[in-house]
Order: sequence, then structure tokens, then C-alpha cells
Amino acid sequence: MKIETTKTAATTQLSQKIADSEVLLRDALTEFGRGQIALSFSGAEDVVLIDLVQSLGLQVDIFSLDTGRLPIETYEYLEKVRKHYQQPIELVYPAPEGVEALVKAKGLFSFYQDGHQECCSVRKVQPLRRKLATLDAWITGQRQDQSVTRSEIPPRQLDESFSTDGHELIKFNPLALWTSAEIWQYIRDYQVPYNPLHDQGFISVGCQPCTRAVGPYEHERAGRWWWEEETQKECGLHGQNVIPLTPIS
Amino acid sequence: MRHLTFVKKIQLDGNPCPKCIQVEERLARAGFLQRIDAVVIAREDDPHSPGAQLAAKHGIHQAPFFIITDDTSGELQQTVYTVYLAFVKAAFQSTAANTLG
Repeated sequence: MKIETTKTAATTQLSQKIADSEVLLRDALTEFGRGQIALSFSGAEDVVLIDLVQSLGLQVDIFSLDTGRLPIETYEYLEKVRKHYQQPIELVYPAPEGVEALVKAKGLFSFYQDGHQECCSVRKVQPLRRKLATLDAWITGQRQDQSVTRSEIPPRQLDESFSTDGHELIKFNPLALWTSAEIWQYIRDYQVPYNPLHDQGFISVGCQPCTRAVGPYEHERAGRWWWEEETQKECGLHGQNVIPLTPIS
Repeated sequence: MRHLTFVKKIQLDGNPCPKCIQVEERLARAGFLQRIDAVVIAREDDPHSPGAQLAAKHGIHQAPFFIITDDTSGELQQTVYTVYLAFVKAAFQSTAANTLG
């Protein structure tokens, strides 16, 4: 009987990425105990983080931001991940009064005219700030190859966006040096459940009105806020990545 | 009593398959490797090698894979795992809930 193997040179490269990420995750979960650190799950390929943590035999609290505008596929996927990993996922919601005020003043799709920052602030950044105020560290699935705004993120950093004078927050990015191809090789090799939107041409997945499928050879973040300037494509969760725009004259 | 078997493949060139190396390294980093009772080799050039025979017996076509043999209920049960995390959870569930810090 012939026994198939996963045999590619890429497997060797992936092995090193897995090793580095596992070391970082173990260190992070050693340095910060339960209740001090949590993993932010976006409902996309950062599911690899959950798989890595559990494969080490470790547990980490997981949270996800429910903006109220996520695609139905993402909600279904969150539930699938919860069941697959047999672990709760805390959904963090925007403050109702903030959403009501925004929608009352500007309607449901103001981001197409005014830019996404205002809506993201209400639906993502403020809830995240509230959540992170209870933590000393968080783990994200950011990668350098995702966008120009993320090309220099390190595996570990001081979170300048959400630290305050009295509260220093550490951000771990264990997938920072992984490529998209390596993420997907891991997902295939380890049979990790993934968001079905990826099969429909979505690469970066966010809120339904602000995410679309991308075409061949388009960058993965091209499907996010496609009506805006590339260097400003951060929702504010990772605001320190954004390069400030400077006037030409 | 439970018995944990890790079946890895040795390729025609004499080297373990890359995925087998990767999984073995992960087992070691997680501290699980020393708790594996048997590492069985499936030689690509020998269908009669112990691992190849296990693969044939269980209808497995991909390496690496794992077998948990359990007779704690008085009846011998064998479960085969081709997904690493599923094996880790089944084999080390009590310690898989371990929390550092």
C-alpha cells in the first residue's frame, strides 16, 4: 500500500514558522496568566492561532468583536469554531447608544461617503478598548504580508494605540512572519475549519458592507474599504500601523 | 490501559517525511513525545514494515497518523487519528486543559 505524504519544500519552512509561533505563544501564556491575556479572533484565517495554542495543550481565552454587521457566513463560522475547539468565544459588542447615535445622525452606510473610521470607531475600536482595558496583553493574527500598513509589525510589541499612562498593554503577533500561503498550507495540512467566504474569493474578511471578494493578482486587503487610500486601511484595532498622511504642500 | 502509537513514514531516500518531522517536533515542544508509547515506522520501500502494515490494516493512506489503543473498559478499542489536534485532545485531554501562568 502506498502511503502518501505531504512533501514539499514549503513544509520545512512552515515547520520553522510553527516552531517560532509555538515558542512565542508559550512564552506569552507563561508571562501572562489566565485573565490577563486573551486571543482576538477575527473570524478568518487567524483561526490558526487557536489551533496552535490547543496543539500545545494550552488554553487561552478567546474574544471576537461582533460589530452587528458581520456576514452571516462569519457568524456561522464563529459557531463552527466554538464547537470544533470546544471552547467559548466571548463576543464583544458595541455600546448600543453609540450605534444608535451614529445611525440616527448618518444612516446605515455613511462610511461610503465619510470613510470607515467613524463607523469602525463605534462598532470595533470602542468595544475593543473596553475589552483591552481588562487585559495586560492580547494575541492577534496580524501578518506583515497583509498590507502596507502591516509590513513591519513585530511578533511582540507595546500596543501604543491601547496602552494608557497607567496601563501598559502588550500585543503578540505570532503569525507576523507567516505568509498567506503558509497560513493556508497549515489550514490544509491540519484540517483546520475556515470561513467559507474564502472559497468565494474573499481573502480579508470584515464587516459585510466593507468587504468584497478580490480578483486574481489583487492584494488581499484590496477587498477591504476599496474606496479608500491604501495606507489608511486599518479599522483602528491596529491604529499604530497607520502611516500618518502628510500634506504635499 | 491506553497505548499511544505514532506512525511515521520513512521515504525512499531514507529520510522521514517532512510532515512527520514537523509533527514529531510539535509533539516534543508540547512535551507530549515522551508520553507516546510506540513510534512505528512505515517504510515507503517496504509494505511489510510495521507502520505500513498498520496503515493497511486501518485503511490509512496518509502519514503521519496516530492510534490510541484502549482496553480500560475491558474491551479492546482502537481509534485512528490523522488530524494532529484531534489526537492531542484525545490522548492528552486532561493535560490539554493545562493553563500556564
